[in-house]
Amino acid sequence: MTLTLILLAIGAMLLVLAVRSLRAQRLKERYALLFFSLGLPFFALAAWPDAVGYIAQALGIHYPTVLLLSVTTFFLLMIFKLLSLVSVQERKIATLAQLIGTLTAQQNAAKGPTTLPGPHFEQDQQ
Amino acid sequence: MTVSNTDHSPTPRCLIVVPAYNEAASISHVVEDLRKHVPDFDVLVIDDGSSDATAARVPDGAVVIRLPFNLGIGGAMQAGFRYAHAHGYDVAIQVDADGQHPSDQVASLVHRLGAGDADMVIGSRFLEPGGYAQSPSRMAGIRLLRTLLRLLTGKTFTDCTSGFRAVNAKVIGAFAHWYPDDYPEPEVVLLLDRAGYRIAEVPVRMRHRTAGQTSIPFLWGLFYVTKVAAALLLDMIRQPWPDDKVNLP
Repeated sequence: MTLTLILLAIGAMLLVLAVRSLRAQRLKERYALLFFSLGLPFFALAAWPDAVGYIAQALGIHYPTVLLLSVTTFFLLMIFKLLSLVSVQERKIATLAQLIGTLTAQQNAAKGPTTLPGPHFEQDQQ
Repeated sequence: MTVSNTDHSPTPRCLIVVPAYNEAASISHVVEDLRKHVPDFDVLVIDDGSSDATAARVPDGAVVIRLPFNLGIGGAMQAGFRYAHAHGYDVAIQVDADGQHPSDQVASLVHRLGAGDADMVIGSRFLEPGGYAQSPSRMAGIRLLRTLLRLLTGKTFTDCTSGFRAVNAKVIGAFAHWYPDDYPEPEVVLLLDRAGYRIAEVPVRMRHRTAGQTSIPFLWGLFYVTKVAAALLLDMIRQPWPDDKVNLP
């Protein structure tokens, strides 16, 4: 019973996190899918705790732990891909910010000093 | 003082890049000082998303680029190098906005670059004994980075954390294309050396900052050194300048 509650709590936490982030426009659908695909199996496991063993047997995997490690590796690769995307995006955002600053300076120089305010973005409140 | 041209070659077009983040208290004095000592050099201030009146305090005659948000020293400096590259400058000199870098010694960096045997010249506080007083912990951190760089490059750079430096057009082009983030000064030394660029140092006498706060507070010193050391080790497996092209205006 305790195991079922723990599995339900973890699954619910992941789903709530994903749904809240989606609603607040802080997570794109494609990335929310990762959390859904991670959270939903916890509900399945809560209902059927022996599922890992049966699935491993069906796939011909002798040790269920190996199945869990394979799934974990898959999600780690997904996270690696996401962090790689974030790194590239950061570079692109920095380049855009530099361009905006340069173009605004050129525009100000053409129209006379201090006729236009510089661009300003509110800091993201986490 | 103006830069003399002893070899009768065309006078290089020099741009001084001043990255500034919340330096309203000192930026005016720094720019006026630069215009007094090197009046022939253009001055570009990069306001790195300051929340104070840094941009408004820049005296007339200097160009100001206001970044829409804080990019950090790496992103701010790269904006300056991209500007220098786009406008065809021969030399770019980095001068901090806190008043520590002596504007009367900017010309000595450019003179050294003009000798032609270096692509980047660093103003070093430690080439001459007793040049600059540092706290023991800071000095230990600088020594550690110096030793690590010596191990990785086989060369001794006495002041790899100095931001007071000048680069030629070749390096300006490389920096416009790619420049490290966060605390780029030591990384740039390693990456330039690995890419085959030549680096020289000249002795300078720096002042302690006139206003504001250092970008590396004392308590973060240990974290800074660890992070830079890790970044330097990772730089050894990284391509010095990535292939991905950025379309510059």
